[in-house]
Amino acid sequence: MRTSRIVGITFALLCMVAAAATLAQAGLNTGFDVWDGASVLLIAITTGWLAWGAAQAFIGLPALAPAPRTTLMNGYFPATAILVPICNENPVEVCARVQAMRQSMVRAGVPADFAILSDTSDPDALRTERAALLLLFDQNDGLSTVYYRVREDRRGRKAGNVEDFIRRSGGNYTYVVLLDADSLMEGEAIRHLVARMEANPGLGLLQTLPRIVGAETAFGRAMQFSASFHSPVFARGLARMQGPAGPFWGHNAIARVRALAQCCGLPELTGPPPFGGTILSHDYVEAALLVRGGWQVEMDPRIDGSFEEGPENLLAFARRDRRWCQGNLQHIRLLNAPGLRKWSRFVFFQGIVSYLVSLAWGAFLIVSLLAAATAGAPNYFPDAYQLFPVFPDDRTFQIVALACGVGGLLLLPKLAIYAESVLTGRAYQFGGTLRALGSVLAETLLTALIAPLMLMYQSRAAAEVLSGRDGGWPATARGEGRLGWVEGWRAGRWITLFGVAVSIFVLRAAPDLVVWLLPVTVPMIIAPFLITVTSWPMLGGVFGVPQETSLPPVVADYRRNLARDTDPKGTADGAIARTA
Amino acid sequence: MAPTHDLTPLAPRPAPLDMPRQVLEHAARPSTFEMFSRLFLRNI
Repeated sequence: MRTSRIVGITFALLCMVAAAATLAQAGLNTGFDVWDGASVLLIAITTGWLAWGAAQAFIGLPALAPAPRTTLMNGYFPATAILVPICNENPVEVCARVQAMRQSMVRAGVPADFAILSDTSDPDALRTERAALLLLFDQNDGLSTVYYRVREDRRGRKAGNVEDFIRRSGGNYTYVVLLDADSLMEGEAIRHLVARMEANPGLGLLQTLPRIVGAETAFGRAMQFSASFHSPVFARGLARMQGPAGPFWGHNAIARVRALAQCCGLPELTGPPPFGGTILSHDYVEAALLVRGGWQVEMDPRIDGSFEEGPENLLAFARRDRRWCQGNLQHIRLLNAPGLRKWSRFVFFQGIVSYLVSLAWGAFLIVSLLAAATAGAPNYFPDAYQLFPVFPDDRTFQIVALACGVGGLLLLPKLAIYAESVLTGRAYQFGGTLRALGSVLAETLLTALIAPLMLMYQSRAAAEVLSGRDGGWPATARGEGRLGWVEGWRAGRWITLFGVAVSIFVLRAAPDLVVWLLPVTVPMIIAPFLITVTSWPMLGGVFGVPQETSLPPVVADYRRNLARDTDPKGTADGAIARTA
Repeated sequence: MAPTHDLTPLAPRPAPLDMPRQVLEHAARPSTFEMFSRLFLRNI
């Protein structure tokens, strides 16, 4: 663990220094000015961040040892509750998921209760929710009881919702499995999690790596492919570096109730949002507090049978990212929190930088443009009595080297992961070596196309938070899928305007840079088109994942339940129709 | 309109646990003026 951390940080620092030195050298050739100084600082930050991500992938390339085979003795199963916090969710989908997990738990012989913890506030939504969930309470499988309660004092949002359960009913249980409204878990996975907790009394929380399921759009399926193909390797790297101070992502994890009660009563931060008030990204904080309290927090990407859904279009992704941005930047307040381990502080720092880095990329582009625009004409005869002209040094070599280095940090991890998948045979689960390569290339192309858009969205989010604007906690838009042209235009027109403005500026002030900036300006200008088109359904072709070719039983059950409970019009909102 | 049902009996069984509020912020440091006033202006 310590070696992995040292290797990762050293690699990032070396890349940072190399990039800064290369750009500084290019600046020195032509007289180092204030723009060069700013560029060097910004390229150091951005390259360091890219290298840190690449280091995680490289460290994760070697396979982990097989997951420990832990079993529970003599049919003993400690009291466990599966917590499903919901807030204005589609209740028919929630109902279908809980039913699917119950079916899976019956097959696996896992006795655990469900607690649906509702923070739904809208009275109509609440009525629909109650009516839809009635179906669950009527069923009796002899293994689990489904509880349901609505919280009227909705303080603390999701973390407060779970905390309320622990405070009122936590004494009934040894473990809680924490889910999101869109989570699914196989009964066998729950059994494994409980057995792992039983085997290690010092383990406070065990996080799984959920696989994304159910994506149908081009954007969603690219994310689903990336999460299935690339994420396990990144997660192995992360697990190696984090060790027992590992991450908690807020759902698809099991926690020891005693540890949660002891360490995870989150306070409200002093001052108003966005930096004060309720802690938004509570999961990182809870992980840090558990570690502070002496508990181990582990993430194990080897655990199968854990699923979630992802955003289906760029707009939904950006909306979620806005919330995460505010949550992560709020951690600035916690960097100095008393008693935290150094690594926990570093994890906060890492989360903060992940959002500030977009601003740094944007600033780097602006500084580069201003430097080019304000550069005077070369002076070939700097001395008064000079026989031969002095030609300015060519910076092309350093700039090309820098571009190759940055491109390499972006591409090499993906190519290395592809090579790993071929060597280990993992690529066959993704349709074979050729199809997996096609998917990797298509995902890389799509990522490159939407990267400037993500940069704009993230920069706007970070700028809003830093200027003190609270984004609140917008409900997660699940399954909104396909966007119309008007929605795409509304979501991306400001990016188009910005792209056009930058292009005009570059054409007038530094025409030599126009070609270099095309990979950034073209996607910006066509942002509404990209946002709309990537939200279109895309079935088959590239981006195939194992969970599509062989549907996990719990996901298959969920779809069957949903189809049964959906009204004939096809809207998964037939709760009222069913009970009427 | 969907019928409303009394779902109170469906709430999880009570078994309260103590969950202390964690301390995440250092106590605010007194300003220089407050320090000065504590030292010298106590009776004012």
